[in-house]
Amino acid sequence: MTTAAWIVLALPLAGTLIISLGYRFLGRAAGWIGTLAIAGSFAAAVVTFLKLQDQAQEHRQVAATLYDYANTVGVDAKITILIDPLSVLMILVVTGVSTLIHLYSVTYMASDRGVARYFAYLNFFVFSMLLLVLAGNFFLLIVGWAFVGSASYLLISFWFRRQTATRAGMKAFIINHVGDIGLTLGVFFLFKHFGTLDYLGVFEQAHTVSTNNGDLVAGMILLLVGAFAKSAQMPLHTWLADAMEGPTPVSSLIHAATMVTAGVYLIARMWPLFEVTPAAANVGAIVGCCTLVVAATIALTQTDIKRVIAYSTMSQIGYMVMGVSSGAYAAGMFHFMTHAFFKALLFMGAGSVIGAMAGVQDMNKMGGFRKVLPFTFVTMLIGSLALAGIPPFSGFFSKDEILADVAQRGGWHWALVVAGYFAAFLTAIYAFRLMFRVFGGKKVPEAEELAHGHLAHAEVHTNPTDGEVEDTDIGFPGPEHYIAERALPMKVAMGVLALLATIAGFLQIPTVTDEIHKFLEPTFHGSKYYDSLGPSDSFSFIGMAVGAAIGLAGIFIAWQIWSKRPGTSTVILNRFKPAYTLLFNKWYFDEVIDYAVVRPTAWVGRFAQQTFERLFINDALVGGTSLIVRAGSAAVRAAQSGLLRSYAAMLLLGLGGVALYFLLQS
Amino acid sequence: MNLSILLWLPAAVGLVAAFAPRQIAPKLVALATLVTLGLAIYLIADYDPSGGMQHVTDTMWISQLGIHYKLGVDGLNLFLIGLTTLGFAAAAVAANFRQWDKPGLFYLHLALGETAVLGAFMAQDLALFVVFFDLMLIPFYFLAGQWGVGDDRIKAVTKMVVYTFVGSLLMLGAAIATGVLSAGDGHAISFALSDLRAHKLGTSTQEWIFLLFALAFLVKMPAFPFHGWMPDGYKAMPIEVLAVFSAVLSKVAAYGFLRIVLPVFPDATAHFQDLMLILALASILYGSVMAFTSTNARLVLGYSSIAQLGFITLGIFALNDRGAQGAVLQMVNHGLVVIPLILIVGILARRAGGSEDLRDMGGIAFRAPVLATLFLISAFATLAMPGSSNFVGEFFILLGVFESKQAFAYIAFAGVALAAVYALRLFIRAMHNRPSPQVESKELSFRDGLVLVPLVAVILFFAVYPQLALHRAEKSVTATIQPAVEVTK
Repeated sequence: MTTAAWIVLALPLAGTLIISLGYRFLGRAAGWIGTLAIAGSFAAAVVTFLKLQDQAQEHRQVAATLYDYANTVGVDAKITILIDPLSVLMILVVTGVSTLIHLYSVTYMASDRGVARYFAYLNFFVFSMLLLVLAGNFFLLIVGWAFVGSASYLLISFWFRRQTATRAGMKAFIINHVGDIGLTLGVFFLFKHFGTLDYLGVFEQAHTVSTNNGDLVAGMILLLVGAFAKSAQMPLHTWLADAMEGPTPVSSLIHAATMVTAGVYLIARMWPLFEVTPAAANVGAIVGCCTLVVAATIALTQTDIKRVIAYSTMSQIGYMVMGVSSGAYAAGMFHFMTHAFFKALLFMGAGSVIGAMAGVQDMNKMGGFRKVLPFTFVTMLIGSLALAGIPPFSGFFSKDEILADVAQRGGWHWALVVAGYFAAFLTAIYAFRLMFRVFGGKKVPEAEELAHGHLAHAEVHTNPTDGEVEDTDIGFPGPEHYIAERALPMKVAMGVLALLATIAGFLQIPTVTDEIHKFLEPTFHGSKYYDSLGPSDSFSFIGMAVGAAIGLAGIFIAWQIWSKRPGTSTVILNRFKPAYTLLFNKWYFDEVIDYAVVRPTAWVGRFAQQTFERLFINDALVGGTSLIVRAGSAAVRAAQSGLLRSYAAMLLLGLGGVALYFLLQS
Repeated sequence: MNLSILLWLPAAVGLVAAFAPRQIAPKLVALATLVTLGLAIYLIADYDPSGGMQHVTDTMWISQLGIHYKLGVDGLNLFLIGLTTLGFAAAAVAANFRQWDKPGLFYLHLALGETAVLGAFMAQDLALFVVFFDLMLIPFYFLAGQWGVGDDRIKAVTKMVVYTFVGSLLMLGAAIATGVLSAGDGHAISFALSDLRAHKLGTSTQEWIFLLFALAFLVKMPAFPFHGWMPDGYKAMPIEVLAVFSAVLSKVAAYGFLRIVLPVFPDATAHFQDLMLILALASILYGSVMAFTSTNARLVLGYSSIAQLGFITLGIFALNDRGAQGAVLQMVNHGLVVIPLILIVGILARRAGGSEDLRDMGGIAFRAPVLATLFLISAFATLAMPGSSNFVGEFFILLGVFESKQAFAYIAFAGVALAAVYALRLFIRAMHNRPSPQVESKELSFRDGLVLVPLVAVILFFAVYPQLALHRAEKSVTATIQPAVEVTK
């Protein structure tokens, strides 16, 4: 079992190395090698899963150590992995969805001249994510955490001749780095308290700690900072929308299905600690709740198709963070899984639409694609229904279960639930706003062209963000575009995901199947919420009915506004201008951060550079010595001209003398 | 192994090279540095991790003054010796690909530089250390003055010499005072570090001597606010020389704290702990802030070195085993990273029509993927990304500070965040976005690869297995900080 788990890790790394070293010769084969590596990793994950299920319930937590990494002066950092139901669920979803996205990319990125680099990065990303979820101690967790951040950076700035892309990449990297710092500092607190970096070692001692111990609360809140940065929770979320600068499959894989869920995983993994630090857990629940509402409101107003989905991701992660922070562990992980399916699918569909639009991402320029992109339409419809929480699609079961579980906590948690349902209503609206605007209405010229059998082709390629003409000299983004209807690999990937997005919910129908809950049991053994927040309550069914009704109402409203009576949106927009402006500008988070953090730092930098260094370091401090400097340099200049050789000779003589003296002495 | 061979081999070959024909001299010295590197690797492989001074050579040099010619290797200097030999080998090989005026002399100075630095690292006698410490300056002075770049180089180099020479004089005085004052009470004067450690000075004496040593070391590092010589000095040196200078010479100063100051002046160390930590923090913040506003690529690295040395100082003066372990590892890491980075800046400048200004660079990653990859790995390592050995060092340093003085750790973390800004900015400005008009986008040459690839391979090796260094350093590090730890308890 441990061997299989090591293979899960090793294959993507091997893929990265092979593609990197052979980048000159591989060409398009790189895509297949990358896909195969991840598919192999998925197979190994399945083997791990099966072998884990063979173990008795109480033996389903296995740690394996490869070698000592930095094991010295009492710090036990080793290369250790932990295999248990939680990590196995994560690796199954990560490798599974990743395989499909690699497959999709084989076509989608085919005409890009950076294709080998792309797959090397993508494989490296999968390796990093697997390292993060398999890590058996805090040190390796931080390593995986940071690798994921850097792989994401590399992929966001993949088209690095675009200044928008390099800027977005830098922003993502730095915010994630701040998260890494939070995580590291949090680990310091835990280490101070428990004296070990090993997960199991820490968890064993967790129940001996008094509730809300100061150090631990500080440590856990700092861990949450790491989780918020990676999972794009407020106020560290601003990088996610900009990250849409990366190729669309990257958005699908990283910024929807895997990386951004790392924070959810972390909170679930740390349950023994969060249960003794309810103060920190509440912070997580509240931030998750705020994020899910704010992101949903922003998603209502965005016009870039990828950004709409990006804000939707942020909102959905908010549900998960709120859930796992409130003790709804199985529900949170369940939603992680279903969301991975339907969100990856939605992004892939968006990629197909963008292909049909020859690279344009603005929804204002889209419309009427229903007939000409039938496959994309059907699969995206499934994805949107799952997102909106319409039964029997998967998102319906998982989202409602989170809300049902949180509601069972009672008290102020009810506020979270109400907010959750409110956002679910918004979710249905923005999801179907997208559907109606892209697929409904009159055919735009690109759709017309496609109806005549031609894929639209841009005369001049421009950057969708700022309209800058692309640097065609180096051939990326590739000049060709692809749609799922005409590319088998894309079709297969989307088809499988559509199927999963439809049926995955049945894994956990309250009181009927409960497979996820049962499977995860060994990880959460001893939790005070795991069983008490059971889904068996009749509340679940009331909640589900409410959820379904809200979802349908949202779709109805979206239909009224964007399909039945076109123009309604403009009326609403004009009536609520200030609110619209606030939402359209994403609540001005970017601006606030810019004024509060970026500008002051830059100002300090300029001050140091232009004023301090010149006045104090060069003048004041050297002032005393500058006379000596001048005199010295004059003397040296005189000597320099012809005497260098004799200086060298003198130096040698001196050295020789020293050596001689030494020889005589000894 | 006799350490004298390792020590004097470069200088001896350098002497021969000085009189050898101009075609032979460069190859001869490059070969010597490679052989020295081989010896150092053997030393590392052969080292017994259970600690203690190994391969000791100890002879009385000047018996009247109690000065020993005593060399030895332990966990503190083992990997620094390795770093030194690697750095000089890289510099010598890289220098071989260029034509130098008066090559014999150039390589003689380079070789002398290596011997001097190795001497400072291996010396186990205070007087011997001081001799080598001062000797280091001379070859670098000539290397920059004679073969350097820019019209102001003489002025720049003189500034550097004046700065460090003042420090050196103070240290010389302090060293003599240490030896003289610790003599008496029935034992003869001795400068051997082991003897000095055994005869502790009075607290107030320790304190003023500490300050003199500290000043010398802080100037050499350089640390804020004693770094006035750095910008001009960095700009003046030939790039190959700068690579090894930046990698190695600053470490001698940090090493001096661990080898001499902490064990010999433990009371003063404890007394000035806060002062040193504050200076370290100031270096971290100031260096980082300057690094992300400088437009000269060399200076970005120069200021980043100030910040990195700040972290190392922070680890040393955490005065616990974790901080010190981190500091020792970080000394090696910073050296390993800065050598390829500076050489890459040289390559980039050649691509950008000779300009080292970031605004004149950009966009070459697509046509130079290998160069971009090597640069990226080095840049990630320099910002101490988790998974790099630099992160391990930083982790231990910050953990050490966190445990001894929590508030300092919080501020230091700001420096960690800023490191990402300047390292990434350097990488992006040089490799990404659109190329400037004068940039010639091409892959690194085979020769450049010959130097860079092994250097980056070493970075990767330590990223995968830092335990090699940590394990060997552990015993010696704990021993060297023991006296100071006891005082603080």
